[in-house]
Amino acid sequence: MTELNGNEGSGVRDVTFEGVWCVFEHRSGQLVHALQDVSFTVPAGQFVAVVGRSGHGKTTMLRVLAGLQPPTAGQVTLGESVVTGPSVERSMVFQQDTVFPWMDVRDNVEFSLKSQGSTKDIRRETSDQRLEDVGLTDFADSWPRELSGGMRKRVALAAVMASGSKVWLMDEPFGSLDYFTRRSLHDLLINLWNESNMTIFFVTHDIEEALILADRVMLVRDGKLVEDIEVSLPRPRDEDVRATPEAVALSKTILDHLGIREDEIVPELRGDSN
Amino acid sequence: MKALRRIWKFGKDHPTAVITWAILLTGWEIAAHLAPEPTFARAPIVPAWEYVFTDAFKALSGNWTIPRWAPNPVSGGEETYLGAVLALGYNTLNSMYRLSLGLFVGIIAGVGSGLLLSYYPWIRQMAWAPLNLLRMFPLLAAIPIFQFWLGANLRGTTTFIAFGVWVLLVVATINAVRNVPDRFIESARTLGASRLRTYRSIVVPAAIPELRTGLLLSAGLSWSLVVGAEYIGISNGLGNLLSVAEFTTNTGRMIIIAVVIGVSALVTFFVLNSIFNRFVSWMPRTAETKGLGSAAGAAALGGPMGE
Amino acid sequence: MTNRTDSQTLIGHPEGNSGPSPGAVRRRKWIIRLLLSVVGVAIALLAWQRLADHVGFAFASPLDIWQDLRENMWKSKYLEQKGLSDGGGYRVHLLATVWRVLIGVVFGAAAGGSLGLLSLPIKVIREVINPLAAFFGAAPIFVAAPFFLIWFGITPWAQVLMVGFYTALLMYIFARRAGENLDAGYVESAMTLGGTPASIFRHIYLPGTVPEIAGGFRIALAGAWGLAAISELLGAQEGAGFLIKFYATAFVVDGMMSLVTLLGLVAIFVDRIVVFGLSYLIRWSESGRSLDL
Repeated sequence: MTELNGNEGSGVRDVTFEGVWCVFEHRSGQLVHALQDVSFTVPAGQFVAVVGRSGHGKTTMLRVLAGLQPPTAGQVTLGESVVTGPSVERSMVFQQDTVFPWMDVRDNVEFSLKSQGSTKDIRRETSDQRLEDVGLTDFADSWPRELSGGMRKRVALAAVMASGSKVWLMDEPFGSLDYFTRRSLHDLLINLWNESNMTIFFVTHDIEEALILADRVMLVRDGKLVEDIEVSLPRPRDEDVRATPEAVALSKTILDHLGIREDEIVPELRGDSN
Repeated sequence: MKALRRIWKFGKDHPTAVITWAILLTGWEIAAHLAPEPTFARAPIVPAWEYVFTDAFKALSGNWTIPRWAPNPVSGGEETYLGAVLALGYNTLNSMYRLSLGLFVGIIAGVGSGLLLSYYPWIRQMAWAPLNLLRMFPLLAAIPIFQFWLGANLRGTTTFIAFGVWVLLVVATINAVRNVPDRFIESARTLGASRLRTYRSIVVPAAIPELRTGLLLSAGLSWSLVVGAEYIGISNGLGNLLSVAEFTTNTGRMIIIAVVIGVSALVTFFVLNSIFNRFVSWMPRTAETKGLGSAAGAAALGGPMGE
Repeated sequence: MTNRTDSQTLIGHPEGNSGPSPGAVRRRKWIIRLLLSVVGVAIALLAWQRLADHVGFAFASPLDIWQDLRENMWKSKYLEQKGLSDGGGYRVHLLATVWRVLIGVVFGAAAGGSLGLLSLPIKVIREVINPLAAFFGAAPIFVAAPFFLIWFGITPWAQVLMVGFYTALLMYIFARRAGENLDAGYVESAMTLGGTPASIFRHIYLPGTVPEIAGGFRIALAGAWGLAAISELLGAQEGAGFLIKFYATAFVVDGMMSLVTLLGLVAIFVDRIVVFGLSYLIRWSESGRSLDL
């Protein structure tokens, strides 16, 4: 695993946004300011939830960090190096189903290693281990279409884990799943994070999800970072923890910042990509 | 002026395409001058462009046999550009006439019988297999048979085209009906619509938009069939011009005719597509219209088509 | 069939994709569909037979065709008399056509398909071939046939090249479209997992476009038979199309019809083999498992 990240040992690999702008031209000709002067630093190993309404720039932020979307201005750095394109250091779990349907579960998990030219033995060993981590050992030879939505997300997690990535970008990964499946995936994700201690950016519009998972919640509105909140609730964040006055106050603060009380109509100009 | 500007813009946006075409056309010209002298007059193996657009083009006026507007070279008249244009126009109209008639009858018959056969699911299932097998038969190979049965004349050619279009569209219609989502039918039935009413007001309108590809394919197919039929047995039309040109190995003329056929086929696609667009204007716009080029490509094969 | 629930499900989807249905129910539906298809084909054959009996000699019945094939398929006295066969019957001519079609289709598809896929990342290919494809795609296929005949004479190359050229054209168009339709999410996902251009092409584009390309391949193959036959009609020394032309000048209806039927049956047979192979290649895909029938 570690051989994938050449500069693993080169010290702390913080993620830094410095004055990042991202401006698109919408089909109507209107300019969409998906990101406006966003700056922050996330130390390695932190679990960050990015919360906001849809169409307000959360996904753009993640895509810029992934290197899928070049910023219009400003720069993103991971440790010493500037992000210029997608890389195995920053793997992404997408909202839509991007488990490759033409590969069986094991091949999906091994894709990253195969691309890096790992030997068959290493691939096999890694995929065995990762499939065990996500509880899919018995499904190694299944086609994705034979799995449920939740299981496919587990495959996606195993694939990202096998890539050895130290920064995980998760774009509303569990949005399409039912409540119970989502909760069990939360537990799985927290376990994986505890083990490997990667940095996680988790985009969601679900405040409860953010409070269950994250150390830190960034609120994005109109492409701006409006608030950056430390979540110091004790873990595991079960129902009791989330019922404490602190937790309730936190979610109220978040709601206030997102403008839920203002009853405004937000134009649905999605500028995430074209 | 506007067209010129558009061409200029295309050239600026796609330099490689322009260069490719320039190289191809020049390469052809060079090949024409390198090729050995033709054994017969006016029969170069690779015709040079200056020959194609002058002598070869003018020679087409030999196909203008009506003794008006332009001299008739067959009876000793001069070869003229006007005569060539008239000959091309006359034969194009002839082909177009056969084609439109056959296409029209074939579309009505194909869609109509497809809808009838689809009313009862078990009939549909029974009709589907033999019709699918029929669709796999190489129609182009059957041109001589059809000409033997129906004669190499307007009625015969039209029937042949109509038959080809019918086979293609009846299968396409059955498939389209089969692909109407259950939920439409179920919601109509829960609203108390009768079976006939559901079919007429739900299934048919939902299936029709699916026929776009089938219709465009049938336009391509009918061009193949009409040119094929004219090539093999009919004494006018673009296919016949082509066959005469080939008989005298007049490659220059063949190029002109081939281009005219291609352009006519494209015109047919656009006309049919815009008629269809008007017909289904209530539909939300889909990307289907974009598929025109590929439908044309598929249609060019003139064989039986997949879905 | 007057039963309400039955007719409702059958109006829409005979396959029925409504959730997990027990294997037994599916098998029963499959058997019913198969039976109906067999009955349908039988009725069509009967109708053909009756029609032919009614029309007379100008229209061959299935039995006439069967008779004709038995007399001429493997060894044909008639063709030997006319000097068109040195003892092989239709078989020899049919095989000639089959070879031309298969060689043309295989090489054409390989060339067109790979160029189409490569045109996605490589701009030059796109810019060079797109206008060519648009131009040649518009015209009916065999306006090019006379050129091939003049350039290659009556050698089999004229037919092979015709078939190959248009298979390549069609496959180029289909492969390109398949690549464009491939969900960008797969490619982006592969990129963030460290996919290199080579591995993305090999593991994402190649397998991901197979279902759509497969459809195009079947269309090309189906069209190739008619194309080969008509270019043999226009000028060849052997092949099914050549025989059809000969029979047409001699007014032998049975012969013409049995050759067209034979060609159709071969087309169906080859298509079935291709479907069988393809359904393995796209066994991962939900729709791929039920190509049709």
